[in-house]
Amino acid sequence: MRGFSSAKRILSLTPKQIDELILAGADRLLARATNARLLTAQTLTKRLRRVTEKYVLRHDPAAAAATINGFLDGLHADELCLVMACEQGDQTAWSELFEGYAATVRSAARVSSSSESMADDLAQSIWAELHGLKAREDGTAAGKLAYYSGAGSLGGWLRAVVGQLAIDQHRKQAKVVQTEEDSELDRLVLSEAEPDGAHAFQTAASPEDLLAGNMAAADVEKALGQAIAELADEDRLLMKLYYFEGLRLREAGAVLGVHEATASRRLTRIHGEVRQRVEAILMKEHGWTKSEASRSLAEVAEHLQTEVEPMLTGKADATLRSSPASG
Amino acid sequence: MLNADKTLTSGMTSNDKQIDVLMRRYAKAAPRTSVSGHLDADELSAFAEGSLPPATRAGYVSHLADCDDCRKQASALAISSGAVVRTEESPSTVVSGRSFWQILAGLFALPVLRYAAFAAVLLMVAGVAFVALRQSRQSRNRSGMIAANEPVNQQRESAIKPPAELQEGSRGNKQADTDTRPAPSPPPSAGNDQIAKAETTTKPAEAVAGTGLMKEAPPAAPITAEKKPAQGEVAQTAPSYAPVPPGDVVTQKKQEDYREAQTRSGISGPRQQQQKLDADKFGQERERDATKDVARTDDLARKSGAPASVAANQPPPSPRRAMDEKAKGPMRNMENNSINRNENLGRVEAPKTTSTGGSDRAATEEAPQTRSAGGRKFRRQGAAWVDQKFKASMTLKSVSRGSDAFDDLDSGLRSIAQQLGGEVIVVWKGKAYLIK
Repeated sequence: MRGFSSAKRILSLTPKQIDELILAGADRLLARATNARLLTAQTLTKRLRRVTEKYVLRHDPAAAAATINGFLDGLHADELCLVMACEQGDQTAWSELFEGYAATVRSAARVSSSSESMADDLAQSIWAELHGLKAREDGTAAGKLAYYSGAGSLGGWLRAVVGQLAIDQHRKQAKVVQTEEDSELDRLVLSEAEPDGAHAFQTAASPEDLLAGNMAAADVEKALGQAIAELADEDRLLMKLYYFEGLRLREAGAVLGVHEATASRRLTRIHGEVRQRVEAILMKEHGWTKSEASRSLAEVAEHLQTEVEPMLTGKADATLRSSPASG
Repeated sequence: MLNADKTLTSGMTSNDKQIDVLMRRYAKAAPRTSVSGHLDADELSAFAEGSLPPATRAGYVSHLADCDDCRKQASALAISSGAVVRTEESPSTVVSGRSFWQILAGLFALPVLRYAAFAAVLLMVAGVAFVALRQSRQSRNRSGMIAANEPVNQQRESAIKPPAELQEGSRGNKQADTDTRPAPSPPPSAGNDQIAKAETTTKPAEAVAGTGLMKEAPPAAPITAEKKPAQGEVAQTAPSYAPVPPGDVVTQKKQEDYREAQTRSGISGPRQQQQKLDADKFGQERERDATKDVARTDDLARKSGAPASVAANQPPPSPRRAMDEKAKGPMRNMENNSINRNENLGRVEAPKTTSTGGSDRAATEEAPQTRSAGGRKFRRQGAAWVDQKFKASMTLKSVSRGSDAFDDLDSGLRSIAQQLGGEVIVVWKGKAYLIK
């Protein structure tokens, strides 16, 4: 173990080496950009250093030079130069940014808003946030553009910004007016207000009531939650995306960066793992045999199946396609 | 997507379905969770677009698995950023980027081989069925071979038979037909008619075309028409696999002998052009034969008491063949007719003579009617060899062998005269010479 640490220490890059890598990466980035917008490598270095710390060194302090270079070379050079030029007050860059991404902002605002007027207000707020209403110590505007790293596309970043801003605005409104509107944003805000999720649990309390009368069902449910928590992060995320977020397999696979077929195979494998874990937990906590645990799990599933069946048949394929959470 | 989800649902085992039901109910009842330290917009978009280093991404995956808020935003961004399309296209790019050995290994992968094995079994079954059916069909064909061969013989017979139009058509055709079978010798004629008829005997094609001279020839007796029914009967009663009758063996032998003689002589048809050298080579032999034929003709004329001119115009008979033909009788003669006619179409006919008596019609004699010498073609006309280029309008200049005038002739002309022997009419440099 000591040898491994020493080797890791030897392989770790020194800050000076990292600076050199970043400087070289800035040069390459400017060389890749079709329009460097009079930016220099020195100008970019500070930004790239911060970005590298955030996305590489924080998660892998012993990252190799190749990893850093690979990350720097994967940055969106043109869009990062555009954003940095905007930060430096380049009006031409601002014009290009607005012309190029006004439609993106508008589209994201429509998705996050319930009306056109709200979407317009949200879009205006975004541009204001991007430009920055406050000034930093050096006199430059403290806009949200400073948080763009170039790791993702500028359009994707703008959509994420619009989404987060929409949640913030909705949260503020929810604090003033206790709306009863049942929407996804409401759920987000409420869960944020009550970190323990008690309210959300109460909204879906009816199934629990159904299970409460049956001790075996409660035991199975508890074991199921424990088994899911013990899954690997990727598997747990897939289960959450499919069953909690109601994504289709293709969409869940897209979030994970895998093909639909791969996601399907993974889900089948996870089902087996969950079953084994649930049975193991039941056997361990209740002293059941494997056959007893399997029979108990099957009985609970059959009981739930009879409850869920009318609902599933009533919604036909729509239920199958959508998530159980949303259905 | 819908298909994949349905496939997943339908392909689940009973155990998977139980877990699926439990998970669906658990997801509805489970509390929403959120952990501290949410991902910012830049992190979410970078994760959604898959542009993060693996270690960083793993940390975000762990957070997203537990944080409902961030997971919801990240999934929404991933879907809106076109990640679905990218992942759908990725398998094709992976396939296109695979190396040759990877593709080859993929062909022999177990998932592929199971289908290949099934296809191989199907092919084997189909192959066995095909062979079995083919063998049974062949056995059926073999059993019905007798009936199947009869149309073939009839067809062959019809090929031998000239069409009705040719048999009953123009007289020129009939004349040409008579040239190809042992028929009564044409009536003797003299002068230009003889020369013209000599041309018709050696040029069937011209005879078919019809000339004014040919019209004078009498219509040939329909021997072929009379004898073909008999041949048809033979063909119908004797299957193809039956042994060849002894008489047919003799006929075949004669036919082969005659064909061999024709090939050796090389004096007719397209082979003439190819075998000029052979013709020159055997010129001397033919000269001797011609001399003998002349003497034999004279003897026959004396014995039969016929006029010398008539005897001279008759082709020299072959006593031996005449005896053979007599021994074979009319049936044999019929077979010879058909065989000869079949063989002699487009070929040079052997001289066909009959004895002076009508009962000796079958005693035909085949002797060369044309010869080549010095690159020229000569037809036999009586005892004389007449150049094909000779025309009746030409003036003959008579030259005797051994005379001074003969010695003054060109060497080529003299060579021709020596090769042919006897009386020879040669057209040389536009002039006709009668060399005796």
